[in-house]
Amino acid sequence: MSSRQFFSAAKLLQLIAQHDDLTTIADAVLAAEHELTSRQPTEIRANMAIRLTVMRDAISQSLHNPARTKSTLSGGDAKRMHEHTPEHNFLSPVMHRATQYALAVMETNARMGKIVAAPTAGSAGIVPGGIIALQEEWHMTEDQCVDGLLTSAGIGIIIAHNATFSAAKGGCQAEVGVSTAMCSAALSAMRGLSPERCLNSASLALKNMLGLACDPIAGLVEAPCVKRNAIGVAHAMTSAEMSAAGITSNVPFDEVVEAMNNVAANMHANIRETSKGGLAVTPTGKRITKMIFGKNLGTALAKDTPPTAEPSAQHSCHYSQA
Amino acid sequence: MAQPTTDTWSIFDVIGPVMVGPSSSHTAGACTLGYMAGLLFGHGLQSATLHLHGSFGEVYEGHCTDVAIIGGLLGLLPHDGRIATAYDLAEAAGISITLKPCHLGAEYHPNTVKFDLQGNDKRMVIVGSSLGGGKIAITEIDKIPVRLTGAYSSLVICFDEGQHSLMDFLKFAMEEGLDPVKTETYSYKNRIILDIEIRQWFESAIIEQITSRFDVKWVRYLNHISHYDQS
Repeated sequence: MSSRQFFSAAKLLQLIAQHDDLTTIADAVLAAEHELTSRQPTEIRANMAIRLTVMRDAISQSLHNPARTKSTLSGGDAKRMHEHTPEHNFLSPVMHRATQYALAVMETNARMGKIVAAPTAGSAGIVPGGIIALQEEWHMTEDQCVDGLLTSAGIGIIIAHNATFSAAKGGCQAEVGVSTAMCSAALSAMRGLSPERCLNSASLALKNMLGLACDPIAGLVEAPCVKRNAIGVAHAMTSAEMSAAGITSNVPFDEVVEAMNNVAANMHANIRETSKGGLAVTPTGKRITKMIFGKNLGTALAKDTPPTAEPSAQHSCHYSQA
Repeated sequence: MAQPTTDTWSIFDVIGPVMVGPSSSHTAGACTLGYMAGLLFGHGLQSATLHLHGSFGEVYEGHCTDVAIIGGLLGLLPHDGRIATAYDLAEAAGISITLKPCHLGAEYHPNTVKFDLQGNDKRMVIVGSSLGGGKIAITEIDKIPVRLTGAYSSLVICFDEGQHSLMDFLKFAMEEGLDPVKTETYSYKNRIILDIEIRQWFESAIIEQITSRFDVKWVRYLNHISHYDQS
């Protein structure tokens, strides 16, 4: 039997076309994982179902919690959004619910609570926010949610093999950008779109996130990360809806991932998780940093320490101890 | 930048790990790096100096990177809630910790830590990077370039050239009924690190046998680190 592994969207679609037992992206992902780890499909699905439970727990821990986090930069916004029920809402019920859930997961994360990285902790709210909100609003089964998670994992695996999940390498496009693509494909699959349309919705989502700065205030995974997850899940839903409407990305998914790499190579280190650029160094960002740490966060705001100096022969430490 | 990775990715690495927040690279990955370094050092750790390079050095406080690395050194995995109390646990275990943000050089991944571990009359300097999404790689042990990712279980043996050969250890492993899947050999000057992938469980007595039968610097068993497990 030929290998069921796929490292590109093209290969994924080819596998589905060639094998009668594969109809959806979730089928192909399950077959690849079974081949890679020898774990049985039922075992794999059961483990994914437990992850859904961890995700729900992470949501419920913060959905009604008004308390601010230790840093005071986040907390209480999930509850605020939950209780915001105006007669006219820009968001559809499922989108409104998804934004609350994304906020809740990220607030739990900021409190050092237990979450499922999807694909990272800084983007952990988007996939569960979308999938669980869709389940509740559209009455989806647990199995459909597991299919959604498997679909999102398939998108993630293609990106992992060809690009990165590391914001220190690729900025926030590698975290929130990737998770919106994963979520968008998952939602498309759950509503029954074809593998091609699922990948197309992932392309639409990721394209719109290219170049996103990772510039967290005081280096904390809170501002802008928490709110960005809520807007991210709405973005994923918009992409999925556009794909359902028959709107097609001019650039196919594999090339969008290539573009993501290219953009990453052009991003300055100051906006790649070093907190030396963007929101982190605004007057407000600096003030908050000082307030939280009672100092200028050691080296974080130093002007004379280029993050990517020439390779030095010795592994000496140029910075003073923080 | 565009360097296709040769590492295998399970879907549980993508939808996972299940972990204590707030960051997969700076908390979960950092914890796993500490865990691997702790396994490599072995028993008797008394002091650990953590050189935090790049983004690790810039933002470790906010991401609890230091706390997570120390938790890992003490044997905790990323989903373990006790990570939050790692400094207290280290103090209780009598291990002194020093943090040093640093710049190791542009050739290093931005999320890199250099461990200087001492205790029990030994010292080991280990470098490792957190690659994103909780994935890690140990890249140097005492200046020997290596690549240990926890992707499989392996027997890691350090010895000096001329003392033994790869075949000596493979022959021994086969005699003991083990089935080496593949091997990697790393070296710096005359020192060699052998990484033998072994997929079956075996008695820890084998480690002691290697130590007594061969003239080795050290031997460790590194268990496969899986994001499949979540409790």
